[in-house]
Amino acid sequence: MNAAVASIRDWFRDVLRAWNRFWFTPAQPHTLALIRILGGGMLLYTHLAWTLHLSNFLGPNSWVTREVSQSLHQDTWAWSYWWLVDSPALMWTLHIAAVVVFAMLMLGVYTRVVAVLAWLMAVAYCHRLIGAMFGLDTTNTMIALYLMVGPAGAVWSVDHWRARRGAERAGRKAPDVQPSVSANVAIRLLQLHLCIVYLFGGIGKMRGELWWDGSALWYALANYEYQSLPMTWLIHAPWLIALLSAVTLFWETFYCFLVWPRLTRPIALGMAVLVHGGIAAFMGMITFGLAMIFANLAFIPPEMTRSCVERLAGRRSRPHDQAQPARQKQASKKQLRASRAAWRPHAPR
Amino acid sequence: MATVATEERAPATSGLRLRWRVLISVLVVLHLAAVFTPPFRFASRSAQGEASPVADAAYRAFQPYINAAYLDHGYFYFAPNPGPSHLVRYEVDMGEAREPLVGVFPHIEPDRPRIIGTQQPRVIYHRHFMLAESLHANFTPPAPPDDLPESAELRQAILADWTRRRETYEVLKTSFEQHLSAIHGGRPVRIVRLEHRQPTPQEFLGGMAIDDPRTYRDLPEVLSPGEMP
Repeated sequence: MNAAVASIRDWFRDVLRAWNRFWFTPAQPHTLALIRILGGGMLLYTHLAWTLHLSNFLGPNSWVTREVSQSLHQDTWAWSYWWLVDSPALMWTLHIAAVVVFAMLMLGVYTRVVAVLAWLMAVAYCHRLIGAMFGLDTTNTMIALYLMVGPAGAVWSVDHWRARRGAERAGRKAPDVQPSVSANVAIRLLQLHLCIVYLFGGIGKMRGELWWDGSALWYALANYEYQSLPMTWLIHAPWLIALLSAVTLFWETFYCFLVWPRLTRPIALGMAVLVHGGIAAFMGMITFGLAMIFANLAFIPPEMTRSCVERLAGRRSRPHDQAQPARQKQASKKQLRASRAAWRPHAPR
Repeated sequence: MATVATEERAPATSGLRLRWRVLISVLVVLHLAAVFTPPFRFASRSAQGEASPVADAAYRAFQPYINAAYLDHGYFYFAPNPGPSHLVRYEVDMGEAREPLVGVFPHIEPDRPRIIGTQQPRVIYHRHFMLAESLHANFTPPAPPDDLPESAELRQAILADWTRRRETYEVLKTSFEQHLSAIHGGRPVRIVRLEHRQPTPQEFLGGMAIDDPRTYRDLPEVLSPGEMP
């Protein structure tokens, strides 16, 4: 009996320890910062595109007028400041303000404040433009939501550049980029949100007979309105269509399991790039495909993100890193090892 | 949230006080429950439109947050099956002496590269596509269902639901018509929903193109008995 109680107690202790490790291990902000640049860029592009057709979508004689938009949200808690906007001058002012905010988010200017504004503005557009929304907007607002939570502007941002320049001018040491719990929480939330998206995407497909009989991909590729590059020649390889349909079905449903273990994560993420890249290239949804790939970056450890980005940018280390005293550098290496260990779901305790 | 200096051992969580960790834990659990609830409710819906009572109760509990934060999504992309597309054809009355002006959205010009399209940029083409899909998704027949249950309470609930759905469809349709009328000098506009299905593999191999005229059909506003919207 005592052994049973002890084992249950140990189990609860292990669960608490795992929970603590999962949520409260400080993480470097590099992955979040890269998602800010790419996701912020997508928010900027998405809203810049409205500029060309602003009156048709937000003006007094828009496709869905503001009164109709408001009435379609009746009895819900949805909100949008656009429901109060009637004057074209105010419409343009608010739209330009939103575009500036999304640009600031991408560049990392006053990131903490503009991240909140960007999410509020993106949601306001979504509620106002009911009927014209699709997966791109769902993904944009999902990314914007979690950029508010963590220090998305801590690196690769104007904020960081200004802080370093200010310190250099004052003759002080440039501030180090610190790992933080908030960066970890933001990334964890994005990871779990993405798992929920794929789980229900997969469950939805599990209910369709075309995904099981292997013809679903044909009906997706043969859709004239979606098609951007002709892929109907695949009909001559029906086994390939059936294989790709089955792989998509199982990958999407089991993504939430495959993406966590270190061994299967590259497969889950590689498939995400192929599936979303295919949607972008062949089905005309370049923006949606890219936005989903950007969200998947949440599963790249920050150290790897940093290393890849800095290698791409053609530098292995920053000047202020070189200036770090040897002991501090040693401590940083230990921090990185600890952070990498914590990132793994089955990290040795 | 506070930025915490890393310690050398993992997990380095001690910088955050227990009460903060408890508060953050409660908030993330509530948030993730709110993210999970709408697709769960959507997936649990039966053909009659009823969702699991558990999903309904959870949805009601989180509804203010779900609605305000734009989390009300089913995530059923191309599911359960990749279906036909829905478009809108509009006819602008140009007066007695002239033929009506006819247009379709989303608009594709077959001669132009598909990646470019005509409604630029591509994301705007997709917005028009979604408007047409949204009108179809909201279509509700002009007459209430004729197989109403005997229970007065159930009958009232079904009729109230039908009235709400029909009103939604009508305001959306009217809004589209008014928009098209405004950009065509205030002339009367009539819109028709179109369905464009994909050819089956056999039809395609038999020579039917994916934009073959036979794959388009006008959708009726009034349904004949037994016809699905």
